Amino acid sequence: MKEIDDFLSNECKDASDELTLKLNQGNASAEDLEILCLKHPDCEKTLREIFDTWQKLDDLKLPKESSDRRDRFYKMLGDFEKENQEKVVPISSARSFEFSSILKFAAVLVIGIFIGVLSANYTPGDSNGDNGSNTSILTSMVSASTTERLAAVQSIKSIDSPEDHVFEALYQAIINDPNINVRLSSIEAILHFADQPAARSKLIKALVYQDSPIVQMTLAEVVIRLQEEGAIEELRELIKTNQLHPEVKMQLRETLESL
Amino acid sequence: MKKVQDGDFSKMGELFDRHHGALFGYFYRMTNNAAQSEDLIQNVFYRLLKYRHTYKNDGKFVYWMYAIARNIYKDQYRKKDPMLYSDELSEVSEKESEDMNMEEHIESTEQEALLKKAMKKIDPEKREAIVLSKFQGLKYQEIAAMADVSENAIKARVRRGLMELRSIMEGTELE
Repeated sequence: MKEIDDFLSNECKDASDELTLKLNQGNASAEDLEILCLKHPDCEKTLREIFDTWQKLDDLKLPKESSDRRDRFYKMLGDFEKENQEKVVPISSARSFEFSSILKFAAVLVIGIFIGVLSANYTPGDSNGDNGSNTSILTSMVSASTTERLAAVQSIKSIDSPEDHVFEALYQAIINDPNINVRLSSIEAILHFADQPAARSKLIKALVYQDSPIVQMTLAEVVIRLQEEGAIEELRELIKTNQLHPEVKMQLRETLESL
Repeated sequence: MKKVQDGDFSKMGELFDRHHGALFGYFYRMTNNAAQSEDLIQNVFYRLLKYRHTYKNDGKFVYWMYAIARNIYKDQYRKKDPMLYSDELSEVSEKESEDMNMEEHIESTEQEALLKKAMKKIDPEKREAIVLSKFQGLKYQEIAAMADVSENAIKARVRRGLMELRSIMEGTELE
């Protein structure tokens, strides 16, 4: 590929790098520029332009941040704390999964919640499955705000007996939501209902549509923990694609071998 | 961060207060979109919480934070247009505006518009090398470690990025 500095001599490239290094370190004065220009006369124009452009970048202004940024942060923090408390359950009563893959922390986190809910005789809140609430939750899942979508996904866990369209909405979030945290939370939410075949089938189906390594790994880890043999074909298809991160490929191969 | 790892999430508020400005600077200069940048900051803090156990106290917290911020930026834009960069113009603060006469104000706005046009055109990797080294105070070796490339590669990105910016602003860029 043609680069803008192809015409520069190596000496000029080195002098330019010396200048930008000083600029990066915050100790390039106009005097330093003059010294460099005297030392490298053939490179003077380039050096002066680089110096000048670096200074001009100061004209890039930052706008004001919104006044509700702290509120949004504390709402997210509150939701996270709440979610984290839900995970604190007696381990001794948990279903016996072995946690061997500490490296895949995201996956472990998701599965931890799953085990907790299954084993702690989880009782959904009062705001359970009436259709009005469900509709409102599903509407929020397509909101423009990431925070609202995250909150909507979290509230699905309180639905008593979700119907298939709820799983479909979570599935759509896993494969389409632009925000990775919403995708991960959707996996976590669907895992709350992993005793239902409809929920499990959506998780497997979602595997082939992921391009985020962390989501791919999370889903792969989930599938292995569920010992879901129905995922073998999807995993094979996924391994064949070229977009996978090498670490994810390795993880998926391990998953396949264990199924 | 150590306290957050130990379960004291209230300390996260201090981290937010201390670092959201820098993160806003990073995301805004990468995307030129203020609303989008604030969403991305929320994602950073969500991920810092979620993956808090993966932070090792042997390194500087800001490197880890920027590593997460970079991944979020890449996740966000990989699927869409990798060159995505908004056309919005930032508002000059009231204080600055008061200090300028009309001519200076117009000149400043034009200069900024030109710079943003140039920032939009350059490759995101070069844009990022410039943003991290010029505005975020990271050293070449730190940027190189985060980007998993050599220090020389970062030097080349900064050099070429600056030359391309100049060329675009002067209307002499290569097609």
